[in-house]
Amino acid sequence: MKQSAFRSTLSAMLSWWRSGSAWHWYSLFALSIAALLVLALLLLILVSSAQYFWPQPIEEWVIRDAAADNGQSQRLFAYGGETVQIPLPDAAADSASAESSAMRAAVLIRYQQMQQLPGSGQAAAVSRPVWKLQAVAETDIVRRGRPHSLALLTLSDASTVAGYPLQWVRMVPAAASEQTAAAVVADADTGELTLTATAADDSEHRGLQLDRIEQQWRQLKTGQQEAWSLVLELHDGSSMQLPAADIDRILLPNRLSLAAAAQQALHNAWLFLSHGPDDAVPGILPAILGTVLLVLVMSVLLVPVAILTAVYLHEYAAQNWVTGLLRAAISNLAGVPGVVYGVFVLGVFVYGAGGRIDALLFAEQLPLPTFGTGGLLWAALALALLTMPVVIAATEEGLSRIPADLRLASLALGATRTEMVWGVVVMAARPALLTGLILAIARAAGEVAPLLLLGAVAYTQQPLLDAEPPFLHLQQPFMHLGYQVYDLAMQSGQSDTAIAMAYAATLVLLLLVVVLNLFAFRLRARLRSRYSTAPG
Amino acid sequence: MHAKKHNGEQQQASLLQAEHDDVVVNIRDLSVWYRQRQVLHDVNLYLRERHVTALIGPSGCGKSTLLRCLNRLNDLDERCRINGEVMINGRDIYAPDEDVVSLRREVGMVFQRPNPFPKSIFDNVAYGLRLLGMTARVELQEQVRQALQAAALWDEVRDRLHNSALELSSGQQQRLVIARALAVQPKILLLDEPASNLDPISMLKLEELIASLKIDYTILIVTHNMQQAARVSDFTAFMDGGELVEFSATGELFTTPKQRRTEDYITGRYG
Repeated sequence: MKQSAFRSTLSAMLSWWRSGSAWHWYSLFALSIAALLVLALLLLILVSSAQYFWPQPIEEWVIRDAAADNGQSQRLFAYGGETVQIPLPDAAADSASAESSAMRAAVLIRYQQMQQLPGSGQAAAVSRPVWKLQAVAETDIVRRGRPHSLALLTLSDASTVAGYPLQWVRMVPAAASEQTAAAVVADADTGELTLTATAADDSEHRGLQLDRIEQQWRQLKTGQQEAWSLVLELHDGSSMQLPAADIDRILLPNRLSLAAAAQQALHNAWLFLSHGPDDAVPGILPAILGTVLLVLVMSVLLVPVAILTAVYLHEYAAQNWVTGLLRAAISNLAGVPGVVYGVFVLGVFVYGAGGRIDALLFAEQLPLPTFGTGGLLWAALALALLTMPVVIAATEEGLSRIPADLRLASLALGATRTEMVWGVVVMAARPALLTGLILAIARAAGEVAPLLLLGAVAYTQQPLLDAEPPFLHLQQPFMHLGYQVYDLAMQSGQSDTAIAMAYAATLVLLLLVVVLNLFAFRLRARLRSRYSTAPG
Repeated sequence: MHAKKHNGEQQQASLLQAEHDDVVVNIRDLSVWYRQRQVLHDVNLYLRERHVTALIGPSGCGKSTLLRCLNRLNDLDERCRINGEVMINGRDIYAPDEDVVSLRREVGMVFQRPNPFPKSIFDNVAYGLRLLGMTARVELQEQVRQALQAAALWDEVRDRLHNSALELSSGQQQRLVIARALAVQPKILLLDEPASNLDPISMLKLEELIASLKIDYTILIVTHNMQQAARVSDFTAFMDGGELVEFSATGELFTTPKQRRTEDYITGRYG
């Protein structure tokens, strides 16, 4: 009985196998693996870049002062970082010891420090808080915590200050102070601002409610412009007065609700997208612009040559072994590493053609090269060469799908061969060309290797686009998202912030490619729906 | 002139030809080779002005090849070699100084499958006119309207001239293609199985159109549908194996075929 059951199961399995249903599952399995990999990658990029934008808690640290030997401690407001092993002088150990710089566990922090700004003219020197990076040995940490009342203020110049908000204060104008010395104090229960008489002081005070600090700020800011200031206790115990009008944003990072944190993250993301590297909030706007311009210039260089090549190969050339060889050669170019194109363009175009152009047109600027060095144009050229095989192949594929009937119809109406090819065949093959261009853009936007040689830089002040003719400066070095990722990931000493920023830049690059592709997709869909070549 | 007379029907054809002075197309001893294979054997045929001539015969008998000899569409194929003479209005179209482009404007052609360009309806019909260098908007519109009216399509598309031609049904597409050919005002129309992909109603519409076009154009139609040939044509030529077997008035050929092969074919005993 058992054996027959086994047999029937076996035969059922065999017949299932023979039916071919297995292939349904195999293909589904393969698809799932591909989808999972893509999802995992996307998730990694999303989560990692969200970390960059998500508001970090600010910590209050008390550390032993390394400078002072008397064991005094020092208070810091800091963003805590990762723990690293670095050589640090051990304050506790014998300072004369040769082993004083042995590897020790330390925490990388970004902390607020007062910086003396030289006074200009008669104005006295002022000190203002700036953020510094430092490694703190773990043994030096006395205490660290996340006090709820610690606030982070973004000022109108986009710099940030951390501190404990104490109160609102108004400097009463000298004339007014003679008459009444009054202060406005917030009602402790309702938060209503009421005027109360106070001691003869030349300032007014207002009680501060941490929960409503933002509302209070808005109220004061819109009410009496410039008059009110926020008094902030800084890390070193000193207090600082910040005019309400100069404050752009007040954040209490250690008591943020999820919604408020998400809102702040979006705000940070926007700052990241809309600022340059020079701004106090470092952003990647120039890199986005550089990437878009690079892809656009590449397309301008690429499309005409690719179309002409594909048309010649498919429409004019005799279909024999030479054409076949040529076609295979072009297809194989797609396998050449990007950096080889970079070297090729550097040698032939930058040093060769670029040098000639400089000698002829920009002789007055020599020995400073204009086109004889890496720049947007040459990088776009390298990318155009790199992606040309894809576009040629896709266009040729499209040309071959145009029915012979269409060609004959055109010729039968008295078209010359040229009129037939350009007026009918190429027009009908435009969607295929766009498919090629979509593939090319996706490849080119992420390609970094050739750019390393051809003018991509981590930082430049010169804009690619400006209001001065010729508006687009093709000869200039440029910033590029892919290069930013490479630079942040490889050159920045592996700091957490840099890695998170690299992920954020990756996310932006991905989104950019998606946007560019959506644009091309829409164009193609429009062409297709309007002028589909499908028969019937 | 005819150095070689192979058989009776060719003599008969040339005799018929002598009777008429309205012959527009005259094909004499036309042979076509495709690589080494001869696909047309000494074909003699003439078309009379403003008449419909049908070419019938089994698949692969050379009907389409013969058709394409009349507007030199075979030229495009390097493997194709032609011997013989095709006179259109007394002009040898294979003469070395013949202008192929202007010949093709004179001899319009409609293909088996409707093949409108992937452009708008208007641009399809205007295509040939624009090739001729016509750019004036008003003039183009007028010519396009006339061509669409002649092809009995105007009323159906007048409100959507700038929609894609590919939105039309295949019957409409075929009439659009005819309008496109008519727009450049040819004298001769070659129809290569124009109704073979159409539904019966579209086919009847097309046949009506052919009957009305006969007033202005000389038409040569290839068809594998003998009823259709009988309905639309004045003369019928039966081809088989690259030879023109019999050519006479349509009624005559279908009722009293002179050749055994013709009789076998039209009575269905062929093959």
